[in-house]
Amino acid sequence: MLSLDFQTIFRDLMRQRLLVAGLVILCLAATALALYTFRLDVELRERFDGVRWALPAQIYAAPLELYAGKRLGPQDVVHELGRLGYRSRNNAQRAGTYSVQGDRIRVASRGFQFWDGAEPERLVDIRFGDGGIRSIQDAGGGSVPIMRLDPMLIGSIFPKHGEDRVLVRLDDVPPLLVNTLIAVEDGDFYRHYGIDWTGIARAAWANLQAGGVVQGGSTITQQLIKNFFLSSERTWVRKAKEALMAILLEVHYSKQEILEAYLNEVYLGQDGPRAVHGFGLASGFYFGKPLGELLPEEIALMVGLVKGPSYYNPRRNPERSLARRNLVLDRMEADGLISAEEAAAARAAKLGVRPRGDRGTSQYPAYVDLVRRQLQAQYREQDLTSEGLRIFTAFDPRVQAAAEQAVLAGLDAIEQGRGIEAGSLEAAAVVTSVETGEILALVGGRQAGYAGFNRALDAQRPIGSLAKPLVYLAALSRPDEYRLTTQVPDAPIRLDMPNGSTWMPENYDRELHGDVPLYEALSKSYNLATVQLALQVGMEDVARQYVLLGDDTKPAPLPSLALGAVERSPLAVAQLYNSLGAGGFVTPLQAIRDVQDREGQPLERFARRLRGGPDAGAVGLVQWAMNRVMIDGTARSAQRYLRSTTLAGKTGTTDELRDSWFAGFGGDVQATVWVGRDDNKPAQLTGASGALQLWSRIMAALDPRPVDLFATGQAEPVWVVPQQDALADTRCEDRLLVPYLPGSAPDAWASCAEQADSDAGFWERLFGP
Amino acid sequence: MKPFFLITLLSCLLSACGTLRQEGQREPVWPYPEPPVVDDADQTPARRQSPTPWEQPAEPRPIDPEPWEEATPIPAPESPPFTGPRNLRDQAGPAALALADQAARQRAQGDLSGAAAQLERALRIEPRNPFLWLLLGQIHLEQSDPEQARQMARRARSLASGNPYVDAPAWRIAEAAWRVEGNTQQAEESARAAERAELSQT
Repeated sequence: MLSLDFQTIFRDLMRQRLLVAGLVILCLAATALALYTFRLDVELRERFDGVRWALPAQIYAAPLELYAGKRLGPQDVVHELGRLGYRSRNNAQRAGTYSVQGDRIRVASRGFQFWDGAEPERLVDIRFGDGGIRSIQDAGGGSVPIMRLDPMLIGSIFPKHGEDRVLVRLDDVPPLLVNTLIAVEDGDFYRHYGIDWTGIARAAWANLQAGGVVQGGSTITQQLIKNFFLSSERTWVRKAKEALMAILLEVHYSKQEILEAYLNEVYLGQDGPRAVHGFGLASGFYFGKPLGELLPEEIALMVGLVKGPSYYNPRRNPERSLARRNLVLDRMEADGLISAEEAAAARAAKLGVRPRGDRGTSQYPAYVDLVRRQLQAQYREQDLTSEGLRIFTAFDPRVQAAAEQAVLAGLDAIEQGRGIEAGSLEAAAVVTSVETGEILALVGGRQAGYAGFNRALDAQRPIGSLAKPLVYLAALSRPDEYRLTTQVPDAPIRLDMPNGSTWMPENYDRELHGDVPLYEALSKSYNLATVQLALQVGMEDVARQYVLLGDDTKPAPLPSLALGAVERSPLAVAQLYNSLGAGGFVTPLQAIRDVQDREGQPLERFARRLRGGPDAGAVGLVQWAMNRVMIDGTARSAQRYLRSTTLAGKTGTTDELRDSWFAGFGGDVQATVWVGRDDNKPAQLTGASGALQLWSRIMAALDPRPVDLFATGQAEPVWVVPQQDALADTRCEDRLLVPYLPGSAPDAWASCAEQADSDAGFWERLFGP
Repeated sequence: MKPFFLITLLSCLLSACGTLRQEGQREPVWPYPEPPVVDDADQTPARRQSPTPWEQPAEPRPIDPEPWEEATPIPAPESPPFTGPRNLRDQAGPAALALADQAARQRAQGDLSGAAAQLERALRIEPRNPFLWLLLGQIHLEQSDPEQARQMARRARSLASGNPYVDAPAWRIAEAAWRVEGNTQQAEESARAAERAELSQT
């Protein structure tokens, strides 16, 4: 009994223990699963609640302002509308369309939330005449004094190898896209709880047969989970985890929320290092227009891409992409999403994808680079690449196109015309608005569309004769001592330098020109006269002009500074020359106008700032002398390109013809151009034979307003004989109208003038001629 | 402080219809080509005095009448009455004017940054319109940025070639800005310059 009891007890005990142990293990497992599920749940909700994607900052061009009197032809407007992805229609009604009828363009503009307020959608008739816009009327016949188109997206600041996206709200997504997506990817989306068992069974059967994982039965929810959290490896464990999370997701969130997240998350293509995520960005990336304007065939193409953005890439694999698109269209028709006629029309349509990089980061890398650098001074890199800032810039696509075109065509022409190895020359260009100091366009290299060495910002080169106007500005800022016709000796110089060497500058033509009028020494770019003048006014004063004109660092006041032995980037030169063009006021060059947060709320504005510069009167005189550069100085060869003769500029050439510069301005636009070689070997070009060729092409395309030669400051024009620095009358053949600051004009008469006779001394008159 | 500046600024424009007389001697300070001199006999009816968009009619600035009333009126036979622009509406085109109106609305709502942004837009269209620079200068003053206010006023004067309807308010802005900056001497010099310019207004 006892033993039996003992045995029974022992057995019971053992059984109990096993039971307990089993129970404990079971409990532990359940707890572990629960804990794991709980942890997943927390992770999931943390990730999903914010739905805070890393949103790269979006960079916008300046919007095109339209108003009566704007110098803009109908073809310019059509061109701009095309850039913005507006579609030509017979009768424009829907936002994002336009129609051309004779000299009238009807535009159904998109609305846009600008920093300073909302621009509404409008339906307007733009009429042209007198070389510009004559009138703008809205649908009711009322006059629209001014409107602006939506700004072009020119790039975004995304982390290296990072994701880029443009967020969309579900309400803003066309229902056709949503319905097509569900029909193609997850027909039971609205019915399942995150997992589609029939789909899984189908996939499992296929995988069993194949002996591995070849097919997924993923729902939209599962795909979202996969994109959000997991790697793309196909293992059963990952599958199980994915399923668990999908169910959790469905428990916590509505179908609408899941769908919206999916639309923004899904990977739809690759643009170099940039991963294109979400339909919002993909719409712009492939079709250059917002989601709301997509046609059925375009929707079909993008939904088709979900299955394999690389395999069905419409740019690289157009046939595959077309077949896939039409398959999706079949499905749309079968499900009654579109009518048979619509389907037939859509199937007949071309792919309609824009050429690669036509819009997006890669087209204007130099300018985007500039914007990023200016922002980095203000924002953390992390905020730039993740906070979805909207950056509004002064970038002008028309000016950029002109500059890029000029660089390409100019370099080709120079290489061909001079027998220089094709493709060996490089260039950079900076175009700014004289009055506002805004940077309108930036070309960082010959292949402007490719990111790389940004020469406009990073090529630090000696500026050569571009430095000369600053010498003359220093002199002319002392009207008691210098005027434009002051005689300057173009005579040899020999300077013993502190390091023991001797500096003996020479003229480019290696000749001496004797005494020359001050302005001519500049316009003909005489080295010796310039150094003589610089030494007269003092190098300290010359160096000071750099600071006055807005340069960041004051150069060392060495005599060689007079001839430009100072290294500056094209952008830094543009600052100096823009200030020269602005006449006595300095505006720090800027690219960014304002910044919004991701919701479109104003965040920051970069207000225009003015600084006191050099004396406006003196700057006006330098402008006049720089105009002589164009008329009969070193840049006279550019006249055949230019419609306007009242531009002002200066050539720059450095030792052994390594760097070829030209910088100058009209009344409203400044351009600085550098041409040279990346390996710093001689480019065999002077400023005139190289950079000037590009510069004059840019200016010819932009057709700037003339420089107001006699209005800046208080200078008065006086007829003089420059070579004598004396007053002229009509008898003088070599006379010229030259501006002088008050009280600084010559008072003696030139020998050719009638007055000269009566002025002649008593003694001379007694002698007779 | 603010209302005072406004009123002074305003009065610069309004003083056009005042009966101020020319002082006996004019200092040749202002680069105005032919200084218009007020003539008693000149009974040109007051011109359209449309104030700049946001200016409400205000009382004329109480100027101490003493120096002017006692000065001997000088006949100014050949100087023609001023025919240049006297305010924004005289000079701006419809586009810039629409933007300035928008700026005025935003300013009235206390949105000074928005107003400045609209004025900068207008200045992109008419960069050489001194009245736009003056308005932007006034905004800077109200944004407590006296240094920029002075620069904008200076820019306005540089574009006005001596138009007293620009010079006077420009000096008033400078005066106010100097006062904010605590430079009484400069403020008083600006005030005197403003008074001289106001006298040139016909």
